[in-house]
Amino acid sequence: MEKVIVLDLDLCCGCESCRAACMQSHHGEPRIRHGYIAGEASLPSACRHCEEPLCVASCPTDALIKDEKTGLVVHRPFLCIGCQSCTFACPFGVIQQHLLRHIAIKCDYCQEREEGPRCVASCSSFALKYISVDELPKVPVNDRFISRSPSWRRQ
Amino acid sequence: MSKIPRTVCPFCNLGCELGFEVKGRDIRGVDYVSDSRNEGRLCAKGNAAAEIANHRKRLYHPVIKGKQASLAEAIGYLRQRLTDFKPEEVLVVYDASLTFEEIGFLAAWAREAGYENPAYVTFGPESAFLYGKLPVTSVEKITTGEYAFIVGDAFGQDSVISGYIAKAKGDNREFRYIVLDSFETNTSHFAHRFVQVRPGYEGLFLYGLYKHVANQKVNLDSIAEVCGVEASSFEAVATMIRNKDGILVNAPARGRSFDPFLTHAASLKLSQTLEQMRYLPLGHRVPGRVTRSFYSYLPMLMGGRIKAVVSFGAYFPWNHPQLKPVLRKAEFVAAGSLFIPDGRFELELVLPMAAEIEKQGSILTLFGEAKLTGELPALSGSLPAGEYIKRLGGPMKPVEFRVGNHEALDEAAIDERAEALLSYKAKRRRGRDYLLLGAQSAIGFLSIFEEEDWVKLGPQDASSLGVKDKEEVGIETEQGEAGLSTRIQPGIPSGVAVVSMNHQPSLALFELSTDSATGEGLLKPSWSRIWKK
Repeated sequence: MEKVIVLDLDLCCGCESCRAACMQSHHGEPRIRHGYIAGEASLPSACRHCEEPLCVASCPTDALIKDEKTGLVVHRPFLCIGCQSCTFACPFGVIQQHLLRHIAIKCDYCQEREEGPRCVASCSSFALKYISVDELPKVPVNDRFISRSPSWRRQ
Repeated sequence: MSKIPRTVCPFCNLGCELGFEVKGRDIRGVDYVSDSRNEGRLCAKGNAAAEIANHRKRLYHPVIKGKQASLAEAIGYLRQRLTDFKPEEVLVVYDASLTFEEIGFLAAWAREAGYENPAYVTFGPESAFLYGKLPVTSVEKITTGEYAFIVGDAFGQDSVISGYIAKAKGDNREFRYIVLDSFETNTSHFAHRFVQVRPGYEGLFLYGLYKHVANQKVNLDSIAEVCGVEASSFEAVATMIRNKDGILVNAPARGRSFDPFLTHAASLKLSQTLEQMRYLPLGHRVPGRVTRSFYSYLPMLMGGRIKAVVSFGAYFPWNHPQLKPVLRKAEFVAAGSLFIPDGRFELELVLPMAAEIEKQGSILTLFGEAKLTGELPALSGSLPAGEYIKRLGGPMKPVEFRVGNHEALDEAAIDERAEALLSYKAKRRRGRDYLLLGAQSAIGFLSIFEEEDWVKLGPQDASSLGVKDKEEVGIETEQGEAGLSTRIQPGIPSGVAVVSMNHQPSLALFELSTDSATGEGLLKPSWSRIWKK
């Protein structure tokens, strides 16, 4: 896999810009979900494009495939029958069902956009990064927003 | 790659740059301009900028007495109708959607026709920033300071600011970040020090802090008691900001503070006392040099001295639902609109306005003066305000005009305001147990996530009312009634309900008053009754 989206939890301020950006570019259906932790912190989550994706294994029609070249888990809507197997198989709960079209919807890393995913471009606090896997260990952890705030009560 | 049309985000005065993905005549969405000063970052509102251009409710033709008309007919009708009134009976209104150039032309046209000065219309906290000689500070300065003192929920309103705080925190271990607000927000979660005051009294705390820092005589204990804080918190904050280079960010929301002008004036005084402190007010700034607030003309409207109101802004009167009974008194009301009128206001003439992203001209932003490029062509049927004025036969030379009531907030006036706020009691009737506060939230804008407004309640209040998350509650205040969806959020004190104010029904819940000294319109926190529906 060439590049991945990384969320720096210490920087995320919960503004949901990423979700708004995703929603705007995917015809009103955001592929990013926000989870609320202890009712206080809101954190975005989207498809992790797993190395051994369970959703791909569960798909009866090969609508979901693992693209060997890019490493992405690609969803092919014309093959999707809306059986929800992938939704149940996903350990992160990030594959959703489009209620009107009866098919699965998931993050596609904005493949048609040359500059990379839109959520990363719009992230207002630099929490989302689009970096190669080799660069991953260089991302500073425990050095920013949350961990440096004495008043932040992590439960 | 083909060039993408670029412009400046119209939704607040921060002034982020954005681009558009255009395919043929179709606007697909916004694009992120990484070589801009905001580095492409946008808040949820900014992401919805393209939605205005091709919104399904967008108005593309003028409406005369509820019927569709052509542009030529509408302009002829407006010109004809204006001759029915004496010039002194006509009030010309504009709002923050106009560019400098358009206001210049509007003023020239109004002056030549002998109309009352064009009056601007926004609510208090936003227009408060006109007062005093503002040292213009760029938002990028946050990164170079030693501290940031934020009043209100800046991240919820303009989340792009969070990036600067993150940078400052990452670069400088000594960087301190203080938040003053009446309940916990996204902004306060990350603060080194969070000063929680009693709802509505932010201005009083800042006043106390200013007096304390300036070593002036003041009864800090009584201020602390009214604000609901420890008397020692003034000194605690003062040590964090004294003799240090930093920035004070004022992010006011409508319906949040009993006296937003005191908040603003005390912030300004504080920044003048501490020489190294810079002051950065957020919110809509009324562009250019302005005359008088629309709200200072309210008595004339009520008394029948003004019979015609003509607005060239895009948001008046749609964002001011409290004005419905007032505008009914006028014989003729014409206004511009971005969207198809929803029947709440039965106006005689509605003109389709070009959105700010489709305009060309200059506006003032917190990055400095910015140019709207006009690269996104106005959709057929809608015109920018400047074009209407030209077609009405306005003079071709714009006029500079004077700033309004600067002296209203001098030292004595601030003391008086603080004194008044110390003994202020919001109108309360039996059964109205919840103080309703307004939240200026980026999320929930247009159709981003929510078409309707919400009300946030603390978990304690929610359980005593018996409501769960996303259930509907009824809210009733002196001004009106509305049904809103509940959001339960820990950190909201008991007896407080926070309402997002993006849509008319929730705006109409708040008490509208005109500030006597500044003549500005104000939405104050109001007491309300809440029940499960």
